[in-house]
Amino acid sequence: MKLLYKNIIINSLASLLIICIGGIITYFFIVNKIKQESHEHLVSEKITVEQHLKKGILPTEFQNNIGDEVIIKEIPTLSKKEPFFTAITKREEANEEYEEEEAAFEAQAIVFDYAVNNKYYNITIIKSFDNDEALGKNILNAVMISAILMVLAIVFINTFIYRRIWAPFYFTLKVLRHFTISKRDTLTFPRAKTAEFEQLNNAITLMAKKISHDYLSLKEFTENASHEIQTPLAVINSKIEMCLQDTQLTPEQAKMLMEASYAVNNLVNLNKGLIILTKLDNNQIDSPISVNVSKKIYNRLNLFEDFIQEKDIDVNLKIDDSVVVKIDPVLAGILFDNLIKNAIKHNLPSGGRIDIEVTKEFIKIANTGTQPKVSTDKFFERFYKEGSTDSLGLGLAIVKKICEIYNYTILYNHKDGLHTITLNIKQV
Amino acid sequence: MYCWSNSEDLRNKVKKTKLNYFTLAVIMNISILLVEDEKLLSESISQYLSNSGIVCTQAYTYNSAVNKMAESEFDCIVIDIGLPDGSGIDLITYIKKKKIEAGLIIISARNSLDDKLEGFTTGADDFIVKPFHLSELNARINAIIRRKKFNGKEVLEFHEISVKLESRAVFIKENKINLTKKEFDLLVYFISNANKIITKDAIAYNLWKNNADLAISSDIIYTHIKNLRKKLIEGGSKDYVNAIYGIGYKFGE
Repeated sequence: MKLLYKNIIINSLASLLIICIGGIITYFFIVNKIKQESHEHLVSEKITVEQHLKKGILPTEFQNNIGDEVIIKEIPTLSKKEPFFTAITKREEANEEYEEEEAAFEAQAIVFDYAVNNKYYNITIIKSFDNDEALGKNILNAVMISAILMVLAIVFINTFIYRRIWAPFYFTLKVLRHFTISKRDTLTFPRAKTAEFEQLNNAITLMAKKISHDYLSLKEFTENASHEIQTPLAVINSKIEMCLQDTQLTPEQAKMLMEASYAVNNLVNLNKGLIILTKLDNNQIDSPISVNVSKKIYNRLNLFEDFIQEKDIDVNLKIDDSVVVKIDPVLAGILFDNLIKNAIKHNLPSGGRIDIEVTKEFIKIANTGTQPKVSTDKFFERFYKEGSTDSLGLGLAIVKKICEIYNYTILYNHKDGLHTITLNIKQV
Repeated sequence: MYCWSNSEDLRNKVKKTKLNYFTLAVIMNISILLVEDEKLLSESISQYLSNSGIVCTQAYTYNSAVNKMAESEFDCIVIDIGLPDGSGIDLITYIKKKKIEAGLIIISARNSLDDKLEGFTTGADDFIVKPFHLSELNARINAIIRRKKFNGKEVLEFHEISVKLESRAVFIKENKINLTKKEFDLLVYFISNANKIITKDAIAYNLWKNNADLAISSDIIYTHIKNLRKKLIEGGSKDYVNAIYGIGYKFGE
């Protein structure tokens, strides 16, 4: 989820909660205040009633002078009770005219006893009410309006923050996304106004520098190691060759030397393959130029002519001569070399077939051969070997890597004894 | 008997005195300077070349190479790129600056293209990537010396076989035989490494370079050798191709 939405949701929820709590508190606070005022009012009314009674005015006479409802009962003796406030539930009749429904509400009242002229009264003054329910509704409305305003404000402020304040962050992100370590990029950021982003950029720049440095030294190490191996291998090879010149060698010794030589050769080829793969992994490639596919393929077929004849392979070509791809020419050579070599190597021992089709969309190389033994997904994995052990299993891994570099999709399928590798060369 | 001969004189001299291959090289005064810091490898190369009659002077560092060049002249200088006290490329630049007339072969552990280009642009004649077959290096040195000394117009001779390198024609005595390109290359390679045991791998590499692995895993080398042998014998030559069981071949008596 985007930070913006997260912010908006969290802020909105928190605000709504606070507004609700605030609304409830406000409600009770106001209700309490009203109650207090009512009590003050009732006390003053009490005094009025007492004055009236003292003057001997009959309750029925002063009833109308007081806005509130007064209930006076004559009682035989005074109770010892102090005046007290109470809440009385009152019922309001439904009033069709004002579209008011029947409602119950609480009204504040003061109850006290009063003695005048040897008469004892129990007096209850009920405060005429303000509609509590309406008050609740009003408060709810206010809360809702402020909630909506609040959410709108949150959306607006967050969007603004997102656009303006976070801009350097997204810029940093963009720079990082385009950063390729193998291209030896150096990271540069404009000064960010926000301290945290400035710190982030500084930290990233520092880290990138360190990573680049580590990467370079590691790459250098890998490259040097691969190359350093070549010299001892050359020594071993040369010593074996010198030994083989010895006419006193027994057949057993010669056999062992040849086996050693075979192993050394495998090591040599392995190392060569790994050097290429390391180069490709490190993107150490030249900028692409337009390469005519048909020319490259004819050229390779010429090189392999001996082997094609040797295995009596029938080569069928369906090549569009105008097809051009943008590729590093050395890699193009390696690519077609490996594909054609693969098609020859894994062909039938004799009388097989190789079909090559080149169009603007794809390059298809198909060869006859035995049914693959295991899952065909593994064909492009490093060190995968099918059957024969004299293959190192790096050829197709290199093909795959080159295809990855140039965004060609590569497909393998096996049908009716025909292995087909299709490269989709339509570069997007 | 194997000789380079650009003149009737020399050829007659060789024939008359029945000089063997070794003494011939001495007469031809073929000497090379080998600049390689890996002593074990330098030793092997030097030994192999000496057996072919080439006088081999070893230098392990840039400075000693410069000193050796000041002391004597060489027909060919073999240079390893990675030297302890300098780059082989710099050495080539030095050689070119001093106008030293010698064939130049670079040995490098690096097979990256940039090294190759750099080497050639500074004037090396050939480039060989480690590890290599001694027979391959020997053949390349021979080719460069032939080119330098005779402008490629010389005739490569081995007993009754003579190979005209420029026109790529092969004669057995006066009898011309027709060889395919690969058979011709194979014959030149054999004669260059006459009387040496050559492994199948070395032959495969010489003929097919980077696709040698495909050759090793097939019978193609055998096919080509069989055809060459047949043509030579049919043309009237003795059978010089000896199969050494389990190892490879030896061209010689």
